[in-house]
Parts: sequence; structure tokens; C-alpha cells
Amino acid sequence: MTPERFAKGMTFDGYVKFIGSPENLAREGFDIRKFSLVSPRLDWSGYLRARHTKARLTEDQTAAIKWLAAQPGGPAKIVLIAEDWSSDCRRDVPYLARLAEAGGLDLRIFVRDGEKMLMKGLPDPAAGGNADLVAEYANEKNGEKFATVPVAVFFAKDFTELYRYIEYPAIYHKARLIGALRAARPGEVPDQAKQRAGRDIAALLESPFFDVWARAGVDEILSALHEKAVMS
Amino acid sequence: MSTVLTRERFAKGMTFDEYVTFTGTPANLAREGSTLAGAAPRRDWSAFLRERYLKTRLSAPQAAAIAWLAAQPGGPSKVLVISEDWSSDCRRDVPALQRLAEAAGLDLRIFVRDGEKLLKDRPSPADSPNADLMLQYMKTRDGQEFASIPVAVFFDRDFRELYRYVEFPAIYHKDTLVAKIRGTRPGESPEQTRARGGRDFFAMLETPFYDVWADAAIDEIISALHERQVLA
Repeated sequence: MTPERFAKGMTFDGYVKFIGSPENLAREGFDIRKFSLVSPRLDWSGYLRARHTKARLTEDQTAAIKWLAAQPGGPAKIVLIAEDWSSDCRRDVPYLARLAEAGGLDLRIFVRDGEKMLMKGLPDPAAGGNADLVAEYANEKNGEKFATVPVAVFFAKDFTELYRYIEYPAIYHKARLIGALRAARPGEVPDQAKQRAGRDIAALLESPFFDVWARAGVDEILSALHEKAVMS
Repeated sequence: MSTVLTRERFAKGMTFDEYVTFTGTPANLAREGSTLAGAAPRRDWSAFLRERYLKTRLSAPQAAAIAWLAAQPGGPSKVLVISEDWSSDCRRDVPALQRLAEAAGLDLRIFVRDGEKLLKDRPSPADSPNADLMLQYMKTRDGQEFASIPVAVFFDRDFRELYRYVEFPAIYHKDTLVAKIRGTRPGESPEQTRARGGRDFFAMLETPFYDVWADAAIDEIISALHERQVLA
């Protein structure tokens, strides 16, 4: 990461404006409630702005990020790779913006995909757009690499990497939960199961657990950055 | 999961208010306590615990989430806590656990772990009035059992165990941090290391991270109870 590459990212405000733009809406997206690709994209800009307005850190989270930012070599910059079609991004990005605001960190957001949604694997780093960043900050799981979002990479002032938060907090066992919600119930035909699961997932995203996980993501980041500060 | 706990045994525990009062009594203060260096006379932590309880607030999503969980069939209804006031992990979590119980109308009962002497080995009914409970809820790690506290066991109305929280939230890597903090610095004598390590550890308990971990514990419990509900 260089200062020049970092500066090409969008601020949170710039990102929210971008996702409501015709340029973004023309890109291919995804809707987990239908479990299918959508084109054009849904416009999530109003939702994200409202979520940011509502998101609040606790006093302790605010004090903790200020303490960390004040340490020598403490966090100063965040690279965030996000896509608005991702419910994990919609959950975490507004809270990450709040975390950056509270600690006076410079947050820059980069989109993952081009015109088409990346379905699997990693992009060629030379493919243009933000493929270089997506490949650099890929998620490694069971020996495989994934272009998971969101990715929030915390850097010191001199761009020394401090910590990387990926996808969701550890306490949210997403694959297990979504797997259970999507599984067919006795007597359901596949189409009924898909529709019922879509409703159940939509309800989960509207439930208080969505914010519990968002705030748990912030706690996980703070605790990891604290550990890094103590151990260094 | 255990179904050993009976209504009568549970009812013998203290409410939070009774527990805080008890911690300041001569009967409690006469019991052996602990510091980082081992067994020591107890301090009176009752005012600290009461103040910490008054300061502790669940977030709106946490309160809504536990209320939703308690309203589900087979949802949490009772919380058994094993605690000792000399434990900084207990002082961190017990006031927040009480707030969690209050937010959903759960019946919380607290049991002390030790008898007159600090527990040094496996709990024994000859030494502690609550050894039966501690033996039931021992922490298992690397094939060994530990009488770690706090323990918070969540039950439904029929005393079916739903979830067990033990010692600290997963994001707090206590052993790693404490080993670093209490490790010898260049030029320190063992006595200086002990004194400086103790100061640094207790200073950490005064930082906002102590409350971040308390908050994370509540998120961990809520998320686990939710998962149990969805997968049931």
C-alpha cells in the first residue's frame, strides 16, 4: 500500500454517493434474500446513510480507539474493500466509518467488483480496477483464497499493516446459520424452501442480532489492535 | 448438556443485590482471596461492583436481542453464575450479566466458588459449599479441567442447559497478554518484574478495553443463544 494508491479510495460519504449513482447501479449485484444475481443493482445508498446515522459506538469503544490511535505506531488509516450487495458490508461499513471518525483515522473504501460480480477465486492483480487490492487482501481459509468482503485493513501512519478484519466477527457463525435457514423444511418443495428462506434471511437482517454482530466486529477489531500494541 | 441442576439447588444462589452485599460482609472478607501472586486477604469490592453495575448499560440491540430470545419457546429463563470477587474477570462480567438478566426478566443466581481457603486443586465438597456446581461446570482445555470463573450457565424454564460462558470472551487473549505484561523486561530483577507486571496488569483493568471485553462477552452470549435457537 502506498499513499498514492490509498488516496484513490473513496471516503464513506463519497462511497454512499457512488452506490446510488447510475454508474454503480448498472453493475451486476446480488441479493441474498433471493439468493440470485440482480441487475441492475438495488440502490442501498439511503439505507447505508440511515444506518450510519443510527450507528453509535459505546463510550468505551470510542475511548479505546482514541487510546490506540494515540500510541506510537497506532492505527491511522483503514483500507476497506466493500460491495453494497453484501449484507456483511452493509452491516459493518457504517460502524467502521464511526470507528474511523472516533479515532480520527483516514478511511478509504474500494469496490471489489468490476461490471460483473466476481463469482469465485481471485481476480488477476493486473486486471485493473481494484484487483490488485482484492488479491493482496484475500481471505485464506482451508488452504484456499477467497475475495471475501468486507475487508478492513488497519495501517499505521507509515502504512505498516496492523490488523485485518474479514467478512464478519468470529462469534457470527454465518455458514451454519444461513445453511440452517436455507435448508428445506419437511414438506417444502425447492421453490417453497427458497422463498421461505429468503423471508427468514431478510428477517434476520432486520433483527437486533444484525447490530449485535456489527458492534461485535468493532470489539474484535479494538481487542486485536490492543493486543498488537501490547505485544509489540 | 447437563440437566442436573434442580429448582431447589438453583434457588440457594444469591441474587445480584444479595451477592454484592455479601462481598462486603465480615463473613466474606474473612475468606481467603487472591492476587496475581497467589492467596491473599480479601479486599472489599462491594462498592466497586455496585458502581460498575450502575455504570453498565446494554446497547439497544443487545437489550432487544435478549428480550427476543427470552420470548422464544425454550428460550433462556435462568442464569447460574459462579463467581469470586477477587477475580478481575468476575468483576468485569458479573455486573453486565446482571444487566443482561434484567433486560429479559431472567432469574440470575450467584454462587461463590471457594470455601474458607482459596481453591488450589479440584473443588471438593469438604472445602466448598458449591463444589457440586463447580465440578459440573469445569472448563476443559487441552484435556485438563480447570475451575475457571466466572461461569454463566443459561437454562430454559425447565433447567435444560442452553449455553455456558466461561472466564472471558474469545477475543480477549488473556494468557498471551498477561504473559507479555508480566514478562521480564531487560535489566529487571525478579522482584522488579513482579511489581511492574502487577502495576501494568492492574493499569490494563482501568483502560476502556476492560469494558470492551465485558461488552464482547454479552455479544458472545447473545450470539450463541441465537444460534442455538435457530439450529434447534
